[in-house]
Amino acid sequence: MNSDAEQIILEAKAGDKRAFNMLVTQHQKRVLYLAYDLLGDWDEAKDVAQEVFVKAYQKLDTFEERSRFSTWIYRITTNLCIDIQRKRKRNRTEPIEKSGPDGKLNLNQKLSEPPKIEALLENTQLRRQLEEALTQLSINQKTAISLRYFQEFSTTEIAETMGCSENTVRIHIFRGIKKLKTILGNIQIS
Amino acid sequence: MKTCHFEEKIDDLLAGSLEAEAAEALENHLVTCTTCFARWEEASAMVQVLSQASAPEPPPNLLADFQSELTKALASEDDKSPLWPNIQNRARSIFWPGNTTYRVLQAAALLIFGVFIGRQFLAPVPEVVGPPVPAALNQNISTEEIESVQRFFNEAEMLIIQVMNLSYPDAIETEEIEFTQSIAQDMLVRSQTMQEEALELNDMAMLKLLHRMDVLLYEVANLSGEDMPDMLPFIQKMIRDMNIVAEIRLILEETREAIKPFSI
Ligand SMILES: [Zn+2]
Repeated sequence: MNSDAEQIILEAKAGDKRAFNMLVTQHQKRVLYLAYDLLGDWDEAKDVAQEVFVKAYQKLDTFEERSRFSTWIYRITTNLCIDIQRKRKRNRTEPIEKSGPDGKLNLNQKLSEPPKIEALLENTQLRRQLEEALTQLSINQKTAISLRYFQEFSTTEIAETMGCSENTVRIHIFRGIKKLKTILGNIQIS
Repeated sequence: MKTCHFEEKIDDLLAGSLEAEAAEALENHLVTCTTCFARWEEASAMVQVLSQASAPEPPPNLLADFQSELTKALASEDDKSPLWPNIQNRARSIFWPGNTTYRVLQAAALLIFGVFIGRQFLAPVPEVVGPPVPAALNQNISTEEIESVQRFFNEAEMLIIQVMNLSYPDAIETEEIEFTQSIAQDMLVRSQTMQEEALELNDMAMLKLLHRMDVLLYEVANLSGEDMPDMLPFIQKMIRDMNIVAEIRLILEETREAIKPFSI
């Protein structure tokens, strides 16, 4: 952490609101995008981002400088989004369509036309298709994959953010990707 | 860049040309090997698609709306009592699955337990000569303390047996998983306190064992129902590989020896 950033955090911890606003400015976009990746809805992402910074403001005194501020703030974001997704899963009224009676994913429910990679890369709908497919993964798989490939976190950073081991992160990613392949069809690089 | 002799098989795995057994073995290796995982990420078409998917475009007023709403929310925070966050809030956040991060737990352990049990036994111990002896065996420690170490490892052993006996999807239907999780969460909190004690006693052997236990407790505490089919075999394998039960039984035996009344 460079000394400027450290100084801003110290000032914010001491109650300097201007310093805290600087922290918001530095991280707001990333927090918003991360929340969107995990929730797939900009309005909800905006509400979560707001809650993240209010929580950070309230809990700044518990933040330990030896960890990075960004990791801390992304962890708050990820935890809030995971809670929202859990509630959504619990409240979902039509789970039968996507899951079998044992709660397992019904893998017969593929997209109607398995897309080819060239088409996917050119397709402006790609992101949306991926988002749709990602909703069929477990919350942890989706979170790990979003952090890794949309937010470009390292597996170490993801482990810190999600509060698990790096091996667990890799399992979530690997299993998630395997499931995505089944959902989207086997794409081939030519 | 490190190399690994499994690396060259990854293309075969992705092409689907490995036998089922070999594929499974390689998959299990892949998630524990940074070299092979990196190689797999490079070669996986799906990973490339995800990495290259263009970032989504937020609606035009989103950032401005966010900023003005946040300013209002922060202003109303300033009017609130400075006593926030209070103990209940923190305690609630620990027992809410998904928030069981190391630091929250550490903070909570301090808050919930306040002062560590048995301060009097935390007197400095002279340099240990020879192989490290677990604190529980140290003569300077009260019977009460040894019993608390014993309780912890008794529960640890039971938890491990419980985890080894979990099966999917029965554990979800019988809510066994939630029960197991709550024990692991509770033990993680207590482990923090024991680690502080071990550290003060300079008991590195105990500290190391507790750290290894933590890795396990961590995974169990975060085991969610939907990840069970993938994570449960991994955790069970981890328990077998760690050979931690043997170590726990050793400690238990030693604690029993230490508090055994003198025979005439
Ligand atoms: Zn390897």
